[in-house]
Amino acid sequence: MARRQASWRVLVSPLIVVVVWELLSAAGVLRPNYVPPPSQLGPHLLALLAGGELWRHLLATLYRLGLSFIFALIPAVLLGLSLGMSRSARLALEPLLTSLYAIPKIALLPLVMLVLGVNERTLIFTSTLTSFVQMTVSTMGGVLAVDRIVLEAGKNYGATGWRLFRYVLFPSALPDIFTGMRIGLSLTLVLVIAVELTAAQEGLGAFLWTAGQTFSAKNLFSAFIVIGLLGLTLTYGLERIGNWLMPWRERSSAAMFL
Amino acid sequence: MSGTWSSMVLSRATRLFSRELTIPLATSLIALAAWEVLVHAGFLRAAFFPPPTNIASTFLGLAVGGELWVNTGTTLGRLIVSFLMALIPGTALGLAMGWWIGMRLTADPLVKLLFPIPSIAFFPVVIFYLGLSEWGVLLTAAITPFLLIAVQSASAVESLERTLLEAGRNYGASGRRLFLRVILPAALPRLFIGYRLALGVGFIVTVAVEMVAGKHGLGGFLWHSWQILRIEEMYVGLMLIGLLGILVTYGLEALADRLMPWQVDLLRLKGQR
Repeated sequence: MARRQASWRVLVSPLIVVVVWELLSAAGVLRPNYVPPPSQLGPHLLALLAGGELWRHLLATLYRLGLSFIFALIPAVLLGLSLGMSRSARLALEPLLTSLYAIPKIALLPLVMLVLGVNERTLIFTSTLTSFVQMTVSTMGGVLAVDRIVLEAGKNYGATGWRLFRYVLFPSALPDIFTGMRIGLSLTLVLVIAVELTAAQEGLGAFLWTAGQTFSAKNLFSAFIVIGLLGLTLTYGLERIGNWLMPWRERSSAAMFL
Repeated sequence: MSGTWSSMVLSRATRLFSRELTIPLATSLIALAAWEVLVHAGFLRAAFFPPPTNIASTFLGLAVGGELWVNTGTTLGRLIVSFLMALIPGTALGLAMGWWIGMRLTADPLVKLLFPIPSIAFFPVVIFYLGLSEWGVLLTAAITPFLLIAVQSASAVESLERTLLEAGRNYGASGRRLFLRVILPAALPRLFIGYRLALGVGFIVTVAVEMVAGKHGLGGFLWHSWQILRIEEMYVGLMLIGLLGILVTYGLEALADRLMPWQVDLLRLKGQR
């Protein structure tokens, strides 16, 4: 596997990009109306944050993301665990789960808008669905992937019923449940932003869209940077937390992916 | 003796197969029938949930017209082109990142920085420069898959077993031969994981962009039929998007199983589905 790189090295190439970007702007190659230089973008972003407008949009997005995640979490884990443990339940719900998993959840937005109306509830419900499906499937996968040997060993040591679940099955499936949570959050963020681009007045997606439509390059870049930081925090932050909470899990780089 | 034994195995296999097939089939049919009955009994509003038979007849009507297939073709075409736009440079960059330490130090932080950004957020930025053009749609749908493929290809090369490389070298392979005969086949299963995930992400972004921008395709068709409240057509659009999604999600996996039967386990990455 890859060696661990010294952390300062990670900063080198992004810094070079920023410096080159600034120099190209200073030399007049990049026009500030199209690509604002970092030296203008930084103060502009700070001013937007200080003015409170960007915070309002960020909070709206975070609120939707957080609420949908919380609503989805417990039902998804419970359903995923039951599906993982019961073969007939799995077979019975397979068509529904397979199609829901394969459909981009944004395609369900018109249907949800039709039934619930165009409002905040619709947005939250569609986001909840995204988190729910991903976490259910991952949890089920986690239970199915539990090593039979581990399960047998647990049984041989006398664990049955609740104890087997609590001390053997659940801890073994936990890394996958956590991966599902992380992927679910990433996918939900994509959905929330996508919905905000069209159907919302508030939120980072709406701010980004308005900035693009009004040809405000500085606002566009600022919104993009904040959305990017949000994505980075969710992806890498949760990965860190997972490694810290579950030191027994394998740290596969593939698990990093969407 | 052997005849009875093999027939027993055969009957057991058919029984297993039939159960795997009959239960999902039965539940879907029951759900559809219940839907139909509940609508006619007035428990479900037909304005929101038109009965499956109506949707089926609308589908048949649209299928004859051909407009539906044009939209399906548009979405499929965008998906394929954007996927190729991601696949070729993504694989090249990823393999280079895995092979040369200098390349890794330069490109890896940038790729890892951009990759967690929600894919759809690139769309307003892209159309700010390219306008609401076909290229804007394709580029948006290609960005995140490109980054994903690059990261996964790099890790595919990095996780190659050193012994394999040494064995290849000891047998005299070097340069192009080492790459084509040793590195590529060994890395291929992991590359495929990246391709599968990238295709899934690309599909989500393509549909989302079509809906947001109203640019034809199945996403555009879906959005349009909602706006003019042709509910049956909306369901038809949803159904086709679902079918395409199933093809994208499970089709490539089936393809990988056929192409690389020796690596089936690795491809069924646990927790991914």
